[in-house]
Amino acid sequence: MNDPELNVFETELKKLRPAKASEELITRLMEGRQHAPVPTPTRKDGRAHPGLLWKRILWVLAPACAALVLLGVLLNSDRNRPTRAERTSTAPEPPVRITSAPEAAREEAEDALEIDRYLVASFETVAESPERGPVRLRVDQWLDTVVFKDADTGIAIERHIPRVQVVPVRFESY
Amino acid sequence: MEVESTEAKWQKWVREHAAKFLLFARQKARCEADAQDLVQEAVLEATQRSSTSGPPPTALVFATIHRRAIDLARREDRRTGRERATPQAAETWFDSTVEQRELEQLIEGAMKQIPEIYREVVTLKIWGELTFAEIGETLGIPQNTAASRYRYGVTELRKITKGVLA
Repeated sequence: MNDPELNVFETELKKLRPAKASEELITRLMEGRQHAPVPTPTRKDGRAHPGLLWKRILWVLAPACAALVLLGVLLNSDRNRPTRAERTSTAPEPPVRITSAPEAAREEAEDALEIDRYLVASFETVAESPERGPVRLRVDQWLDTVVFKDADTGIAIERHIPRVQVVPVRFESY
Repeated sequence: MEVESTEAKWQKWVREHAAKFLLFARQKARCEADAQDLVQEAVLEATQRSSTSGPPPTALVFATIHRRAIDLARREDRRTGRERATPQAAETWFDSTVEQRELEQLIEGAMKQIPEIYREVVTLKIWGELTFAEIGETLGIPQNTAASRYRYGVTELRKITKGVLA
């Protein structure tokens, strides 16, 4: 079939229009689009927008800083707590210290609770993100041992909680 | 005002292109419900993947329909409550007047006879209004292959219709 005949045939085919989509489908498409997340801004070269990159760094740093602060508080309270030898000694007890109720409650809770964190494994890996390309991740496997002791009843509750922490690391590509 | 114009732009885009997407999806899916789901999911995914805030490129939507249809065909056939509850709508591929109905049935029948690799290229070129480069991107084939398949497909269609159209 030569080209002019092909063109004529194409023209005739184009006169047929695809069957219209039902209003139900149109509505579904519009509703689906409204529920879709807003596309993240990207530059023409496909890399993330600088403002977005800083947001992501902050998103990672904020919980990391909070975790560090909490760890510092716990370590500090652990250092100030009397040792077991001191607690079980038969030496005369120091005079009772009168503290405010919340402070007393906090100290009592800290005395009853012991948390130990063991780093079981740590490794780095690279994951492929469909939007951003390769993403470098540091994976830390922790085992938290939480011991709660009730001084009144002598009951001790111990739990071992495995935890995985995944932190994206800036990926340098060349 | 800007939000309204964006919404109006979206609605216009959906109404303009939904029929083309549905035509392509109907050729890939086993039933009407699957075809509509393919279109909905593809539009949503293409919107999410698109770097623009407006409607996604049509070639991206077609490519997503193509890929999702392959995934769907591999999965177990699952009948949904919607498909059981509502009667299957007539799956006519083309809009036609009374006079065109016979022609529409002829072309639709011919399209179903030619191999799928030709049918999808013909659909994307004639009714999807894509270029051969875009068709190649959509189907994952070289541009020249897309052009060859299109020529073979249209030639076969003309043979089947036996010169009724032209």
